[in-house]
Amino acid sequence: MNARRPQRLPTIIFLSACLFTGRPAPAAEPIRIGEVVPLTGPLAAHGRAVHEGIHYAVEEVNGRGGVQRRRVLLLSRDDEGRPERAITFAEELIGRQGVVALVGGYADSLVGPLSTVAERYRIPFVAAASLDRRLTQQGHRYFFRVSHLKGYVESTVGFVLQAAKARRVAILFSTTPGASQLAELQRTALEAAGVDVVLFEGFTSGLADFSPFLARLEQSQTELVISNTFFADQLLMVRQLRARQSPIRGFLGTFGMEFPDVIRDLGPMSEHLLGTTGWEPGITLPGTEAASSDFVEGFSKRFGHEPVPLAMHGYTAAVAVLEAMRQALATSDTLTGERIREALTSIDLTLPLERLRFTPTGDPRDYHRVIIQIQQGRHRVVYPPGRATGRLRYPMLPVEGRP
Amino acid sequence: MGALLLEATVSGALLGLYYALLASGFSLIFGVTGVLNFAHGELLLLAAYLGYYLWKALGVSPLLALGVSIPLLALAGPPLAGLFARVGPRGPGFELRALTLAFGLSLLLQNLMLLAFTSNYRLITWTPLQHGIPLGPVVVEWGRLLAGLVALTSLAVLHGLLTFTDTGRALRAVAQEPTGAALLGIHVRRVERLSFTLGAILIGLAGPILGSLQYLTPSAGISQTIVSLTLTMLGGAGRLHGLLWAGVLFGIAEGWIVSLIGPSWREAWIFALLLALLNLKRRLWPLGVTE
Repeated sequence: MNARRPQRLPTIIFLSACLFTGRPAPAAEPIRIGEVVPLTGPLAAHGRAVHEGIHYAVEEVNGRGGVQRRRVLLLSRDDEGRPERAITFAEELIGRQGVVALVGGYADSLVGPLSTVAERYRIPFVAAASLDRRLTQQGHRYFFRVSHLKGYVESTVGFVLQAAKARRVAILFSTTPGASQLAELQRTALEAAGVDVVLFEGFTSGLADFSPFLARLEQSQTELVISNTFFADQLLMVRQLRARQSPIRGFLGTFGMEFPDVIRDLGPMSEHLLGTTGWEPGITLPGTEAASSDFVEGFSKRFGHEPVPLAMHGYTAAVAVLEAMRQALATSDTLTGERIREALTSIDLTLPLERLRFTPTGDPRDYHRVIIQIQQGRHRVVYPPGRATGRLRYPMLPVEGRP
Repeated sequence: MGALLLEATVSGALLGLYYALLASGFSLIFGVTGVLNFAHGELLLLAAYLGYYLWKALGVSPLLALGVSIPLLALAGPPLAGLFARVGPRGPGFELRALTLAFGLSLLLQNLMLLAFTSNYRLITWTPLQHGIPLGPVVVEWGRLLAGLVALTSLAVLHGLLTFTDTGRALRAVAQEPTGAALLGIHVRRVERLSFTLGAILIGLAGPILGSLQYLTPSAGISQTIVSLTLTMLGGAGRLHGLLWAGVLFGIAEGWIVSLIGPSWREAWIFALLLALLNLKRRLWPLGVTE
């Protein structure tokens, strides 16, 4: 018995030394968050923009030392624009990879299924681009989004009534839930204000020739077209509209007109077209000019091109998740979906896109858009007057060099 | 109403002529070899992207781009024929094996294009094609008028080739009865290879024009394949006259529906009309394979 004591002593001394000399503990596990976006397929251009914004937000926070000194690991999945893939990947990210939150999503057809999976597993999901009203009316507690129909309706209807003062308006829309609901809200608001909605038409994407439809628009003596349609359809329609020297006085494209491709592809034909934007380089929420410039500069350096508005939506959604995680970790070492959800409900951030606060149903409280007009190849804000950076040119002038 | 219908008819007919050109390569290959080439739309997009980058980098007009896209696509014809020859001889199960290969090729090309060209939308906006020409109450875009004329000329040349040359007769013989054609001394494999080359030439012809009419994105090929398949079903495989009429009818139907009912009902009405026409056609005369 006594003979064993000297053998134990070195072990005890070694263990005590380890305990009291402050040997560093193993590094904390990184926090895993999941992103599901369409990186290939028909929605890839939009999905990539959202992805870049999210990616940038995560790199930015890791560059500052992580969230409460824990690195954030972003796990990206490409749903290819297919809802069944989105569901599979969301389940894999939550079940196998152990992510504590989901972020991303583009288009309601993909965001809807993702929100259902998030609810089932009690993991918060902050969507970067979603409009369908039903998604926040189904009682999902773990679903949040940074965009809202209200911002589109207020800006477009306000512009028609106060700036263009148009009396005969045509409303075109893609037959997706968000665009259809937007069109219905616009029609209700405009008709209530005494505007004659002379044409109210749904579109399925892929029409090759718009001439018969444009002839119908002209015959209905439409003054202003509000187009809530798919980006590519919109550009093709504008090209034909401008080629035929249409007497229509204004064209307001709700989605996608803020993309640089419009000016690049249409050239002089894009002059005086109208669009909406929530944010873009040079157009930001008042008071966030410095943050916006830093974002544009850092993003451009990182990706080699300027961010498009959807990148800011992705960034905003990711910042919401990261900030909620920081708040959750400030009061407890355990990070759960429920704790992040609770933090999201009380979040209040001022970001270049908007002041970010969520309603109890997960919608943003403050989501505003402005009306922009292409003037000499650049975007000018023409509505609301408080944020205007240029004077509205209405009716739009014929394309230069045309009779 | 009259002016509306006139505009819908003129623009629909021009678009229909182009649809016929678009489908002619698909129809010819199917008529002669029995291969339903579901990678047709992707090959068309490749030619369209070629036209786009020639225009973007060098300012080459879509018409001049044809001088590059046609020979390049023609070079792709024989390897394509060789690829489909590997699925085995015609007989039981051939169509299914060829269809599976075509689907695989379509997916492969789509993903390669995504890597090479990204998913951004591209459109050839060569200014002269974008001007409108007022023809009485109708305004026609130069680009669409030109597309219709190119389609009509190309199909006339193809018709001449199939009708008045020995090569054309051999193509028609193989399409009608490959075994009989072989007994007559026609080298069936060579003729099938030729049909792929001709089909690829037609794709090379239609591609840059497509790039000036519609937005290009790597996933857009499937809609072109569906148009080609529909017109082939309606017009008859390898039947140029049938294809032409089917294309024009399809285009005019689309124009009228968009003009009178609205664009949201376009697909439903067009396919209802096609089903009705196919049913009528089946009653009046059976599906043929060549003219």
